Amino acid sequence: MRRILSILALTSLLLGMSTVAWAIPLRYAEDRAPAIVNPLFTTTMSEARLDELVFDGLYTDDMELRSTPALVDTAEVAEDRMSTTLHLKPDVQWHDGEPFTADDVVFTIQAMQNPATASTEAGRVGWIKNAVKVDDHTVHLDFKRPEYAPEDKLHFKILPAHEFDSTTVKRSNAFRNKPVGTGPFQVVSFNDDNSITMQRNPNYFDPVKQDEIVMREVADKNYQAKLIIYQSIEALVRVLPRDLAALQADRKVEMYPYQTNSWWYIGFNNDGARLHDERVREALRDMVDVEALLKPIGTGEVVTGPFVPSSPFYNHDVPEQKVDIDKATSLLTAAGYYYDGRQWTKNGKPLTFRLAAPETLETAQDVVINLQAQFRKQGITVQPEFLGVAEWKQRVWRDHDFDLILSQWSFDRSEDIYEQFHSHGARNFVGYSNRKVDALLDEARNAVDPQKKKEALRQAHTLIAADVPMVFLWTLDSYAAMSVRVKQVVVHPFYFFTWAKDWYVY
Amino acid sequence: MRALAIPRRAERLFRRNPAATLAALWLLVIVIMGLVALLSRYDPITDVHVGQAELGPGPGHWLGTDHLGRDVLKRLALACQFFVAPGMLACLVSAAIAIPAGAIAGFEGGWIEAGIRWVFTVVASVPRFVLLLLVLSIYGDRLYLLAIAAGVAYAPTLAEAVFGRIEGLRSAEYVLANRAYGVPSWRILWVHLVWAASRRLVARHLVTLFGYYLVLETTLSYIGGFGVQEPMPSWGNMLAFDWGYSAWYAPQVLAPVVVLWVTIVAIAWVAETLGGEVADA
Amino acid sequence: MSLRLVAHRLLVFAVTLMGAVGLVLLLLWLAPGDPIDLLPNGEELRPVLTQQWELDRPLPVRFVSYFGRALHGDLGTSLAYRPGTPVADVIAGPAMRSMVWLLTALVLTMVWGTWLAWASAGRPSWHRKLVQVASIAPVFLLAHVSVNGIDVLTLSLVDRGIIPRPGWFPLPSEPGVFRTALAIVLLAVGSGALAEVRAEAENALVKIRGSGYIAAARARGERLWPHVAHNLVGPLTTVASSRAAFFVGGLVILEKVLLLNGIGSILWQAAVMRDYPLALGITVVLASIVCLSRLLGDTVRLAFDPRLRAQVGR
Repeated sequence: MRRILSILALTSLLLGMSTVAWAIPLRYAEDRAPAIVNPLFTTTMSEARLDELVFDGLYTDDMELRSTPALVDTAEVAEDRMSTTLHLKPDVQWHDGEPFTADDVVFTIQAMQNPATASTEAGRVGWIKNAVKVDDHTVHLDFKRPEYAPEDKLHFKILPAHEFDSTTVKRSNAFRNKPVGTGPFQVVSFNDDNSITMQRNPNYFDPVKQDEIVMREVADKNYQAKLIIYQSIEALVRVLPRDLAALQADRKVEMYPYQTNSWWYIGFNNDGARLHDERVREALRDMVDVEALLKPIGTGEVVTGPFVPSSPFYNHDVPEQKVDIDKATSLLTAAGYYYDGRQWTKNGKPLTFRLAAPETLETAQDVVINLQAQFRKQGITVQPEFLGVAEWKQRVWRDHDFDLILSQWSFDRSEDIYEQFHSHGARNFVGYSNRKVDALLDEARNAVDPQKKKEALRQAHTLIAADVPMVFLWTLDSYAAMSVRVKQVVVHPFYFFTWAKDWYVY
Repeated sequence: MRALAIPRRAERLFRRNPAATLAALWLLVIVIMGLVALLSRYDPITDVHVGQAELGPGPGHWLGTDHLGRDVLKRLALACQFFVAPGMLACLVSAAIAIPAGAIAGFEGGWIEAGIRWVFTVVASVPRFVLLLLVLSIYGDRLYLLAIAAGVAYAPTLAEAVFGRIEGLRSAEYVLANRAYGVPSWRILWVHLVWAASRRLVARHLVTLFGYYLVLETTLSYIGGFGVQEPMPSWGNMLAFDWGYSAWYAPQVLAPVVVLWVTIVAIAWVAETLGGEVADA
Repeated sequence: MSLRLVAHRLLVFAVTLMGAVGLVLLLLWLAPGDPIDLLPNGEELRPVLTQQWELDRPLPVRFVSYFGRALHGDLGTSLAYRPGTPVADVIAGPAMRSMVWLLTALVLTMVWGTWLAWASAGRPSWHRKLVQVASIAPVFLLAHVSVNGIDVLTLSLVDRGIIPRPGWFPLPSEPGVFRTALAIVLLAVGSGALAEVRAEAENALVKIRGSGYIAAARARGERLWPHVAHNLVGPLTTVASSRAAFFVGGLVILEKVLLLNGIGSILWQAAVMRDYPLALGITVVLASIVCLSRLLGDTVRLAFDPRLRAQVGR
């Protein structure tokens, strides 16, 4: 009897251990916890990454980065390419057990388009004229213009209609504390230490291996690399340049390079009294040694325009910026400034600019100090200010109360620079305006033929570079670090977690 | 600083105590650096040399360079200006408020004493650091404002000390004798009680306040947001700056720690020596 | 203890606390310009805030109404840190945590300081100097050095294979018990706290050892430690209640440096984000803690020393 019992006990122990094996949580660290878990209001990459785990879109990327159906089962695009009918997957459930239906798709599109919601993602559905529910699992979309590949634009996350009262959704809506999605993981708790625990969605339409994922906020960047070396976390989404060598040498950590489609820039306030003069802007640009600014903070590639060099829209014919002090001197003199041996002045007043940088941009401090030194050596005084998120939004976005700004832009695969460089663009706070560029950007947005889009944007690159609305700096090499104990890892170059349902920690 | 004009009795004290002498000399060096730095032509802004980042100690850079190529020793020296002069200002403000108030309270007694002591107790009820943080947040982060506020925040401690001393001596024999001889009250108070009997106590507290100001300034600069901002150097922000970039024993990482710790210990030893034994307080 | 004594002490406590709160309110209200101008989204909220903060009423009225509301637990509403949430709700949990840490640190420093004083009786003075040098460092410096030091030490031990790399090894990098414990220890030691307690305890012990009643007890063959302990309470309590304010300041700094989620780190956020109702509310709570500790210290001393009770009545 005792022998049978002990065999039973041993077997159940082994069985228990095998299930426990997958119960090792996958912990990843972010600089900053997401401020809000609601795909309507996503503004930061950490929020976007969390959305990848918790929500699904109609389409997603496959491992060759082509669109593949996610919540959609099959779809037909009309011959004139002005509409599409989507047949949704039939047995999908929300995390709270409710069935996923066409209502949810229609609701999401309407909420995103609703100006009262002020969704940050509104631009993603601007091309949809209307969305109509045909039946519980069929949605019909009409477009404003012929669409070449609508599935590429249907990656935005779908929200549950039954969790909201109307299509006017506010940031403070209770959904943010109890997000419900269809994704492979569901949010279980928001913890006291700003970490978020997520567990496997047992009803997901594909099998999910990993039981638990925990997002941890590690604000102090000095600790992030140490945490992964000490195996306190399994994944580090952005590795700081100074930690690269240490992590690469560590055999228990694997590095994954990333394409972030993001570039840094020094923006000018083109409407400002002194910077309105193109000669002044050009002179400032000619004084900046971009390579020297880049060196202390990491490795990357210098850019000459609003795209990354690996982008199809990047115009490699535009020459790289070189330091040219003589040219800068002659430009400033022509603009009416006088160099008194120590500094540039006009009417006796020294040329001074305020440089605003966001506090949250890592290593910005080093760049600012460096830049300040470069300008001072040429006789121009720069006063740096580091602004918090709220202050940045107010002073830079709303009031345009700055002379220079140091910041970066990140784009997704569509690389749509309209909002930043079109005169009507919502994020064009540098005040850039060029009719020709406007026309090119309009053409690019509406282009059906990808070749035409490429040509238009390449031309725009040339014109923007010549107008010097900002000094384009660089795109940084980015790496993610993951513990080798995480198996079957394929990392999405932008969203990181797109294929996380296959991962597990061993 | 008072150490420069120490009377003979204190001088003898230092001679007996070599540790305190060394400490006093170190402080002298720091203070001189702090005052000289105000006139220095070294420009921390243009000292960035990307190609010379993280050099070890050597000719030209006696303590090496940080990760932006800036000379560590020069920055350490320059950082003194942000606490030496403001620290002295804090001492001045504190002394100006606390000595008269504490002395009068101790001498007069009664309602005056109760009232003055209550005011100081109220100010002391708000933790100093919290009070100063509030002041910076509301009135802006200005160096001399912080110095004045620190002086005011420390005043209760100094006032209580002076009060205790004067009150204890109020009925001492020589005071009564002086009164009997018709010496005016104010002379008794200021010359005999405050100057003769309390000056070492006051000196000890003022030196301690100077040390407190140093700690305050470096703490704020270390944490960031308030205090000395880059590119201006402070021992606090130098501590935070290179951490993570070099080994812990590299001078650019270690030097600010050592300099700060040594200076604080030096201040404590000098304060102790100036003030006499702890029980004397 | 007589009721009169208790009432007197309570009155002093209440009046002093009101004074402290008044001081802090005055700080804000006397600032040049409008406090509303300092807020990032001030202009849009101007009518609401003017009414809520009673900016158009005279100062005394505003004092009274603030106290009135504070007594009901209404400390205003946070404007920037957690917009719309009442201050009391924001700080309730963190305040509890911070108080626990504060109390633990206070007890730790008392016990440790007394033990050091006891153990080093008759030992050479470099003992004392060592404690002083270690303890006198500002808390942020101690935190910086200890965290860095522990990391470097651990990493070098791991590199040499002396310890494996388990994820469970406590690190200051992790939010958790180890980091909180480190903060409490640093708070107990830093900014001269430990040295001061040690010195006070040493003084008290010297006095006690040389006193008449100890000699008498020894002669009678009694155990000494109850007498010693009873007489230590007074000086230690004095130090504790006078040190309370410094501990609070040290805790605020440590919470920020070691990323703990107590009331101190919220104060930093409030100060940086110019969230005045929240900052004021927190300051009021902290000032109450200081006044309370003073009151408790007085009470304990009065309870333990009958001579003091006779003196009170001034």
